[in-house]
Amino acid sequence: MQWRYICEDRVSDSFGLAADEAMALRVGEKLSPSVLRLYTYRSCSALVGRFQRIENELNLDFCREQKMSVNRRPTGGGAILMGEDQLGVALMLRDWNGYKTPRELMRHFASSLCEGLLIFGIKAQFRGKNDLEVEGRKIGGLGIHSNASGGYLLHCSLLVDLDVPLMLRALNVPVEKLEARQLQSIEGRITSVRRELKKDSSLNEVRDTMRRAFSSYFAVEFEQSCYSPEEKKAIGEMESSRYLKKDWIYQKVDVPDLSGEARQMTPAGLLDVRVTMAGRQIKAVFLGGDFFAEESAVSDIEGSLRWHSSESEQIRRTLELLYAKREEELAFLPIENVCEVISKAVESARAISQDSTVGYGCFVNPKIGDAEPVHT
Amino acid sequence: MSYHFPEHLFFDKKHHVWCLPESDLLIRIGIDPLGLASLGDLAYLSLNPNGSEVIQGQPMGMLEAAKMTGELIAPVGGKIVERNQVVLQDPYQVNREPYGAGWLAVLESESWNEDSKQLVTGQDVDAWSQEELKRYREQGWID
Repeated sequence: MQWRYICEDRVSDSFGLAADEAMALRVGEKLSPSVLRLYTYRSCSALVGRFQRIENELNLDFCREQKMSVNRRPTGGGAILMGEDQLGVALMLRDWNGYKTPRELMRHFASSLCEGLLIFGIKAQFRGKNDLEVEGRKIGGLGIHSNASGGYLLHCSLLVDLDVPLMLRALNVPVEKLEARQLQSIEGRITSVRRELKKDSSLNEVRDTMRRAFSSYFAVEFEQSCYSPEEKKAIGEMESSRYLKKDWIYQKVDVPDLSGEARQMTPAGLLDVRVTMAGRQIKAVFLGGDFFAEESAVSDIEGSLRWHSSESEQIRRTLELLYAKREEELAFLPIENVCEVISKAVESARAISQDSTVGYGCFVNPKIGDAEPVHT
Repeated sequence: MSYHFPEHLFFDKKHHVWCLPESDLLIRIGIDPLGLASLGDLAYLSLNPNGSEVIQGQPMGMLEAAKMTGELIAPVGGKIVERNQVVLQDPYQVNREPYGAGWLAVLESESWNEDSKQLVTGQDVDAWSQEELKRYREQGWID
């Protein structure tokens, strides 16, 4: 089987997003075979998730000062910074090998990314809705968008490298309140290809490896490809009708952003939980305070609750599965305490019931005010 | 989760959107439980504005759910005359009561007689829903 392969660099935010969506539509309409597009954005573009409130998520003044472009993705999840050190991996297809559901396609997409990273010796795994992690540290953010023509756009922003302080300034994180220890804690939950390999691997090396991994995993040959005149026209129309429009980029969202917090003393020490929510859905949870627990296990709790139902029973069910796997590392942090304090934080968010200004980044958990980092 | 398909409703066979004719012109619509099972819990929802014309089979809104973002496909053509403000602010209501408080919009449809021929209703609902349940289980959309 032959798929198309498109390689591009330093594209504008509007073109990058329009090409992904327009090509996924054409693949859905059977006007093109499946396409793998490995590309970079011009440094830097700050991209929010499909339904995020841009003014809540991004520090727009800082982005303007830094001449960073801002835009809105068709895929969900948190805000990201894309530039020349982040590889955009876009796979447009209708189905593969009989698999047609988003859940299955996402699993195979993530597995192919993991195989690519494994070629470098990096053991990554897919978790939750959209996280690609290396021992609890996030290395990629994934998303899936389905369109009316039956096509899927599967996307990953893969961190070959990341300027964390720059990201924190571009995203709406109260960075002036972050102490060195807190910055260290955030950096401890993110990683990149260069950081894992402890060397300056080139983006092209990562890209070529990923292309080979996708070819092997999906058992396809790639034909190096350019956009046809019809495709260029479709991308141009998508760009001008959507990704260059302020109505799209700055659109209002009816679902309120909420945030809440709660504290509780546990046998492991003080547990300080912060949550950000989209209506009733948990977007992210941050476990801080002063307690003893394995940092990667704490990251696992946070990761398992990203984009999760806020219903207490469902939180409990998810954590029971996780505790069964990591019983030893979480021995001093009883599940009852964790469930209770998370539920209280959720209740406090609902009680406050007003829009939070705390952002939720793809690579950063919520930090509110003077939240303390986890001590392990 | 139970998958119930009332025979008095009309269902879009492909996109799992239900329609309830409330008068000669007005059609209330929502997403059926199988459509929701494939999406997961809804986090965000947007609908085209009141007064906008929609075409059968074309997007009339967008949504973000636990499993993906996607387009909401109009089951019939018409004009959006009412949008459920409750679900726009709390999309999880759609998961809770897909046939009740979780309705999405009301369309004024002059093409209902023609468009509804593409939908399944009445005695045909049972056979269609059984086939769909089988297909969804085989493809791993539901347990």
